[in-house]
Amino acid sequence: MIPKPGSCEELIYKALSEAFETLVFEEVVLSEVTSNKLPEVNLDGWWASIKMLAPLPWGEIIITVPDTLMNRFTEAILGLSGETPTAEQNSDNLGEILNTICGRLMALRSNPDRVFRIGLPVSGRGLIPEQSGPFRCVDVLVGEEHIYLLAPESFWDDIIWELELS
Amino acid sequence: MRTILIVDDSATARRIIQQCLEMIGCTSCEFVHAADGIEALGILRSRDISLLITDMNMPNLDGTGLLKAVKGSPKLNHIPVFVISSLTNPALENELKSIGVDKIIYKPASPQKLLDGIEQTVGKEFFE
Repeated sequence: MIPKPGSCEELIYKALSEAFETLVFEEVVLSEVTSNKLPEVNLDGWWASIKMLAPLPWGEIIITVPDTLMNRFTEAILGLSGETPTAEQNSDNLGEILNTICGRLMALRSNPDRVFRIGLPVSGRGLIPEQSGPFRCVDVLVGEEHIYLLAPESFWDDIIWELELS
Repeated sequence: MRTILIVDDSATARRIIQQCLEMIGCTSCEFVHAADGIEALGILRSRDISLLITDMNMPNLDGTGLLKAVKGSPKLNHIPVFVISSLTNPALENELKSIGVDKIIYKPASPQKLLDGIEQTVGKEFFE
């Protein structure tokens, strides 16, 4: 899928690309964006979530990463060679990756006068936290592995509104 | 020997920042880590810190609280402060500059961003 220039999809893809290329030196490819369709996540997969608190309490942004890929990311970030990353390292790294994605998402938005505030990342393994309302799911590929980013529909609408104003 | 205090609730982020600093020549510096503002203040009051690098979004005492405590203290306000945060935009940058932050760097940190920050604020002699 090639995102339309100036679209919400392009902005989110850009934030994801910048974060993954800088932190783990991996290229991501946008596969598809769906509405209210939960991804199939393996129980040994990793997730992290961050609450968006201001200027509006949109809800949570969630990311899921398969276990093998998460190990590879942690090895790249921490420069581990031959060591299997610990659960704590994977958990902390995914939280930091999502934190960076959220930061890039906010920075890339068109209205510079809005101050954004987000919560602290929470990470886990297996089933992802339940969505409290409608959401969009962004499916990106790293090689043949899928990473999913779930964002509340209201957050998505707000980006579109800002893009229309700019 | 110069001592650099890195404050971030993520051990990963602290490690990335230290690696970047080592890559740009801070090889003889001592690095001290803190996971939040309260731990950082304890270190600042007991150690001679040459550069403070802090995140904003942290538990217990966040970056804003830490910066206000540092810049409001006659004993600590001489310490150069860099903020490395994912959440930076012009409105927040203005707020941070008004508190007295010397350099604001967007996450992810990189050796070049830190090198620019050091050269623009504390100068190249920091590495000597």
